Order: sequence, then C-alpha cells, then structure tokens
Amino acid sequence: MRTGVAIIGGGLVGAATAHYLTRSGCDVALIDKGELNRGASGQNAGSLHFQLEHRLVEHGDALAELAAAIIPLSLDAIGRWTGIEADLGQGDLDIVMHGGLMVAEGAEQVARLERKARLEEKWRLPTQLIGSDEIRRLAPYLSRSIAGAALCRAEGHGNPRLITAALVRSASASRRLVLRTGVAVSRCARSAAGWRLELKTPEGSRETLEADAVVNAAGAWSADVAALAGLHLPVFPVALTMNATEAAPPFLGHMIQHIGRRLSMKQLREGNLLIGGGWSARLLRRGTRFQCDRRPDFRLDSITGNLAVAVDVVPRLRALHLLRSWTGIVGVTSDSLPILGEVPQAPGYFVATGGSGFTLGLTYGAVIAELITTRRTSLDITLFSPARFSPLNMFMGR
Amino acid sequence: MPADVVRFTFDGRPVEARPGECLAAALLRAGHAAFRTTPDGRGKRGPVCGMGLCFDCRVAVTRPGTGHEMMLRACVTRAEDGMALRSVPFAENEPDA
Amino acid sequence: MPELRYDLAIVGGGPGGMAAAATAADHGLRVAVLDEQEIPGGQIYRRPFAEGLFPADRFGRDYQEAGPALRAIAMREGVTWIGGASVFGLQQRGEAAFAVLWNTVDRVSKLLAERVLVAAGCFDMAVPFPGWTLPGVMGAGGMQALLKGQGVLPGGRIVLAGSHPLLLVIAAQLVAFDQPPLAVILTQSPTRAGIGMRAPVTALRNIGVFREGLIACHTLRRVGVPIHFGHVVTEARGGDRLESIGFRPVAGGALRDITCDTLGVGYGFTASTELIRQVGAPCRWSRAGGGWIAEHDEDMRTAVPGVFVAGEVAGIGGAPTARAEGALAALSIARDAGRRVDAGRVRRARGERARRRRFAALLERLADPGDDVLRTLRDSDTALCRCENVSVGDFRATLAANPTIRSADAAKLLTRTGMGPCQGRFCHRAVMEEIGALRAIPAESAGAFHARMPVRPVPLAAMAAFHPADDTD
Repeated sequence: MRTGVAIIGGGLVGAATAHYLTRSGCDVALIDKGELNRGASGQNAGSLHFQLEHRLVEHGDALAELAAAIIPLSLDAIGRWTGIEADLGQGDLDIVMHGGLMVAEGAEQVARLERKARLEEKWRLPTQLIGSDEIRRLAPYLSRSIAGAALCRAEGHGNPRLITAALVRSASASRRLVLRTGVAVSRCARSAAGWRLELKTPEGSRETLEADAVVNAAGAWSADVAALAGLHLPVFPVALTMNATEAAPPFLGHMIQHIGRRLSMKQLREGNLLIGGGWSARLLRRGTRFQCDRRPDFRLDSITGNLAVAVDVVPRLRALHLLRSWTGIVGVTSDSLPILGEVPQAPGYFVATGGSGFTLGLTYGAVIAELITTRRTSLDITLFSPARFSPLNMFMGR
Repeated sequence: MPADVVRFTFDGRPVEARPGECLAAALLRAGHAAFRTTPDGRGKRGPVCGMGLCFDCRVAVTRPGTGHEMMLRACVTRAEDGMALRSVPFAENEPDA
Repeated sequence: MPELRYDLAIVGGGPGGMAAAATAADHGLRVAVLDEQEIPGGQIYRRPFAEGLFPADRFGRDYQEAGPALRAIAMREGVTWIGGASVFGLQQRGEAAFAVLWNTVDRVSKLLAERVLVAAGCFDMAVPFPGWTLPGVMGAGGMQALLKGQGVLPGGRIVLAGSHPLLLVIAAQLVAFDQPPLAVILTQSPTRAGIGMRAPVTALRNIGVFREGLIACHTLRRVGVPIHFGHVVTEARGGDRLESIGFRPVAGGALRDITCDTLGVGYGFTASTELIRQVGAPCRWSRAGGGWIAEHDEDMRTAVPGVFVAGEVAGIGGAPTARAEGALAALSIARDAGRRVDAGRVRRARGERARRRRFAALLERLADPGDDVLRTLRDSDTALCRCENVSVGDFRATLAANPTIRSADAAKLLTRTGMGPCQGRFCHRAVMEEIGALRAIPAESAGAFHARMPVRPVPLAAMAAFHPADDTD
C-alpha cells in the first residue's frame, strides 16, 4: 500500500495531524497498535490550560523563560479550540472555554503569580491578576484562604472522549484516510521513495506501507517508535493519577489550577468534578523495562494528597464522594518541551509529541501538516525541533 | 438520659425517628418516598437496594456541628438530632466558609 | 484504628464471613471482620437496630438463632469485629500481604493482613423496565432490609414481582406485619416455582427458601393474597412516585393494572465481586448464578495468592452454602498459615460444600426467569443506567454510530453508563446484554466494567484527611 503520510499514533495529536493533512489534500494512513484514543489522549482530564503551569515556573527564572516560549503555541491553540466545533461541523463537542483561575495562597504565591503574569504579558498571553474581593464575586466557591488569582478567560476543558473521534471522522470524510487500528509498526526504514513501514497484526499477518513521510505522534511510546527507525527521542513514560467525584449541581464555572500546589480541577457538564494536577502513579516494570501497555498501579498518597489540596481550595467538595480514580501514562520529554518538526538526520521523519499534548494537540497537528505540505510553518517552532537532539542522533539512523 | 425520639428536618419540615433508626426508614414512615432530585433537576429518587450500594437514596445532610453538607446514603446513615436534610444540594450558590 | 497486622481480613460479616471467622479463630488465627453494618448478619440475617421492633420469631427460627450465634463469634478471642466499615480497596504489598482500605463517613483507615477472604455477598439483580426509577420501586432485598433492619413497612399498598421464591417469603412476612401485599406476580408457572413439584421433593425441602416459599403460599392463600403465576410486571407508572403497575401474562396478553405505592422486584441476585476483580482475581460469567462470580479451587483459593472467596461471590447459593464455604476457606487459610488442621474436618467441609452447591444449582435453575423475558421488558425510553440517566434508546443509538465499540468499558466511555455512584453495579448486566444483542456476540464477551479502587465511593473529606502511615510499597 502506498500513502502520502504515515502517522504512527491514533491519539489526539495523530488524529489532528490526519485531519489537517487530509484537508490539505494529502493521503494519510493513521496507525495505532490498539484502539484510537487509548493512551493519554483518552485518559486525561481534558484541561485546556494556557497559563504557565506551576511545575514550569517553580525552578527559577531561566527555566521559566524557556517554558514561556510555548506561549505562541498556546495562542494558536486558543484560536483552534475556539473554532474547532464549527470547523468540524459535527455538532456539540463539549468544549468549554469559560475561563481558568490559577489561585494563590499567601503573599509569596501571589508574588509568584505576578512574576508569571509579567512573563506571560511579554509573550502576549492575555491573563489578568485579580484580588480577593474580585475572587469572592467571581468564584464564591473558592476557600477564604485564596489571596489572589490569575484569570485566563480562554481556559477551560475539552472532552477527551469526543475530540479524537471527531477529528478522525472528519479525516475519513475526505476519503483520503486509511485507518489501521489494532496494528503495530514492526519496521520503519528509509527507502528509495521515502519510507517503508511494515505493519503487523496480533494474529501475525503483515502489510507493507510505503509513504513519503512519517509522523511519530506516539505519545508515551514515541521513543520506542523512534527506535524502529533507528532514532533516539528522549521521551519518557510517566504515570499520573486522576480522580472523579460524583455529580453535583453546577457550581464550578472555571478551570482551577494552583501556583504553589499541584491541583487542577474542573466540573463537567454532567456534574462530576475532575481532580488532578500531576500526581504520580507507579509504572509497572519488568526488569529494567517500564510496561507502558499495562495500567500503572495506584499510589494511595497521590490520591489522598491531591484530594487534600482540592478540599482546601474548594471547601464544598466535602459534600461529595470520590467516585473513581484512574491512572494513565503520558510521554514527557527530557526538557518538558514538545518535540515538533523534522529530524534532520532522517528527512521525511517528523515528530509531534511531548509538552501539553491535549491542550496543544490541535496546534501540533496543524503545524506538522503545514510543515509537511509547505515546507515551512507560520509559527516559529525552532525551539522545539528534534534537531536539538542531534548530539544523540548524529550517531544514529542508517 | 437517652431520648426516645430523634428529631431532624427534611427540606425544612420536621421528621421524627426512633433512636438508632436510619434516615431512610424515618423518611418513609413520614410519608416521603423520594429523598432527592437528580442533578439534571428532572427526576425524583428514593431507596432501592436498601444496603448502601445503589446510592439512589442519597440525600444532602448537614450534621450538627459540622457546618457543611454531605451527600449521605439514607439507608445506612443513622438519624441524629439536629440533622438538616435537603432534597437538592447546593440549591443556592452561597459563598463558602 | 491502629494499623495492626492480622493473619486474616474477612470482608463481609454475613453467614459466610462469620463462619470463616469462627473456624479461623478455632485455629488461633488473628482475624478482622469488616462489614458496613454495625452488627454481624449480612443481609439474610440483618438485625434490627433495636430490640422489640418486632417479635423475635417474626422471621423464623433460623433467623432468630443466627443473631446471638453471630454476635458470639464476633466477640471471640482472636476476632476483631469492625462494623460500619465500607471496604473500598485491596492493595497487595509485596509478596504476601494486603492493605485493606476502608472508610466510615468521616474517616479512611487501612489495616494489614496476610490473607484476605472476600465474602461480600450479593445485591438485587437490576432489571430495567419502564418506570423502574420511580420512588417506591425497590429491590426485594431492599424491602427485606427495611423489614428486618428497621422494622419498617416500605409503603401502604405493596406489590411483589419477579421470579424468585423469596418473594413469597417476603409476602408472608408482610402479612405478619399486618400489611399483606396486594398481589405477588411471578414469571414462573407454579411448577417452576417449586410449588407444584412432586419430585425431587426431598431436594426442595433442603433448600430453605423453597420450604419457606411453600409455607408462605399457604399463608397467602389463607389471607386472600392473589399470586399471579406466569405473569410479569411490564411497567411502573407515576409522577413523583409510584402510583400503579401494569402486568400481563409472560407469553403476552391483556395488561392489567394494580394501584399501588410500592413495588418489590426480585428477579435474582448479582454477586458483589468488585473487590475480587479489583485485586486481580479472575471471575467467570454465570448468567443465572450471580453474574460475574469468582473463580476458585476446591479450597476456595483464587488465582491471586492469599485471596480467598466464600458464599455468594462464588455463585449465588444462600446462607448454608456461604457457611460451608466460609468454614472451608478458613481451613485452607489455617493450613497455609502453618496451623495444624484436622484432615477429617477438611473432608467434611468439602463434602458439605459440595452438597450445598448442588442444592444451590437446583435453586438457580428454578428461580431463573430466563433472560428473554427480562430483556424484552425495556423500551427505548427506559433508563439503562439509573445513575446517569442514560436511556436504552440513547445507548443503542451511540453503539450504532460507533461500530468498533464491543466492550462494556468502551461503551461506558462513550455513553457514560456505569459512571455514576453505583459504579455500574446496577447497569452492567443490561449493558452487556445490549452490546451482545447489537453486535451479535455473547453478552459476557463484552466483559465487566473494569473494577478499580475505590470499588465503593468514598467521602472526599475522609480521603483527603487520610495519611497512609507508610507508603514504602
């Protein structure tokens, strides 16, 4: 089989890339060894967060400056998420962008919010610092201990269960998409005409796929997939925990984050509150290998710790029950920044992974599609290029 | 001295229970078949499984001395003096303590 | 509760769990028994919250004697009774030990045990039909819980409907409470209900519920309660609460109405195996024997070392079966723990268990309403998932629009069935049946909803306040 672009990874990023590529007239094969949306794309809480996160700004100003370079992508993401329902024309996709509040307790944290705001202002992300009186008015459900907050009106959440499927449906409608789920890539090598992939089903049947270009959108599996092509990608699987409460009547209108503690919280339209914030779970191991195809184990202290922060910040959560907790695996790069672009040592091999893959997933897809079809990008993605790993990959490849 | 009646309220109306009785039993005896309205505001629900598994009998309870509401299963929660029950939690968007 | 280490933690203080506790204590093991109720009894032997609510013999001699007997076990040397405890998770710590996570309304606690026996019982099998979410429609077991545990009649105009002979027993109990039901509606013919059978009569006499059902029939005839054999309730009607039901012959025919305020539904039971599945022990599907039931060997061991099962979770079988299996499991556990166990006692326990399971199998066949009868009750407006208000029609439409969905978990993600506080207990069977019907695959191949900790909802405040003493695992 021959195609234009072979996309490895059927999560949000892969689906978005397929959508934008097929719309530009490219033939695309979207491949996943399992079902679509099975990895982090389907397991995350759907946060659309554009403010600089606590974990990015807590390690000193130099790193914070570097992390702020993501903001142009965030601005692009705001536009894309705002317009995606109309763009896809498939009806309501449960996308809520009514505003996000990053809260602070105590003077030191308020000062951190101010530093963050200055950095965001430099990069033109629209956020607004608000004091306790305004917080009382805007978000009366927040604890009295909240001394200040940064409001970003575009923040909110998408619905991980709906968006990937909708993007795939759109790509399918173009008649340029070939979908291969339940199929693993067992070989990926350069050929005279581009790239040659070998696909294998669990039953053992094989198929050869020739493509002009390959996109590695394999999330937590990006490094393994890259290894098939003889490349190093420093993407590491990290296990996180998420919690959902029983449904409550609507009261939490914002997506909540915290500048000094690990918390992200939102209320779904069904009423459940989703509570997370980067609390770890335990990856299963066999020897030295982390097992990314098995659900990570819980850490009880991650659940209790996360909920303790949540209840502190939104006291009326004490009325509710924890309904379920689940673990998921995300791919985290060595420098926490996304990897976006073409691998210089492997022309035609593109990568779109890492960073905030859900929030920026549409943007990644659009940027890679643009890069493949026009050889340039309107957004400057030099900072995120796989070229920064040339010290690794100059010794790799064939 | 042990009381021979426990008094609580349901949507502001007084209900009496026997000491040790669960909320569900007291509410049923007082003629209330439904203990809550569903989050979408459309349905009424009451006890079904009687053993704390279906959660349909849950009702918003403010226990005396706690100052906040909790959704508790009426069939496994003992009635206590001073409990205030509501069939719709968070009915008003009041500020929190 | 200090974090002590026990030789054995038993989840469930009903007949199975308490029989195990007694046998374990016989062999010098340190046992903790956890149950959501304050005093032992489980469901069948659920005790009233106070003395004097009803005459001591109201529920028969077996029930009357069980109370003191179970309390005595709970007070034995070596047995720690933990009442009011909802067990929401089991965590394996290292090679052979478990953390049992449990909570009350205010507090989450953890205890450690070398081995765990899950005897968590069962609950009324949920059967969706039009109007089943109306206040006043409850499970037959739920009705019993109110009668036995609270001495309370659930309503003034009561109808009982289903397929299980237990309904006749409950009807007779209602008569004793001076509130005879307006009718009992059974899908079975009298023969299938075990009433008209001649042989094997001895076998039936060994099954308590049949024996009691026969006696109940006489009582009901005496006071003039109509029993409609071969009929099924097809709808419950009302505004804010139940006001009437409609019923007809199973094979089809004219619909008749009964004005009522309470309907007790009893089509059988679903085993509470969530905790067993959460800890990784395999279950198999038993359509008429409790749904997903635990797999185990002849010593009541599951495939997870240190995890044992007894009673309904291993297949619906009633109190005598649970007692036999609880005792057998405890003997195995005692042996594993290096205690000297009398081989004769083990042999007798195995024999008793086998006998009880044979009777249980017979009851299963006779009480089985047949899925066809039940599946056809729901229409497209019927709630498939009560918690999330997902209708049968919406569920079918979503599945039709997403042809790759073939598992209960995948269906749950897309339709939200199973995402409510009951965590799928009351919808998973119907979800599996719907997937099976729509995809032309056996219902059980859709699988169970993945069971994760917490297998029961836990108050957020209690969870937030919990500090796991050590998390070196």
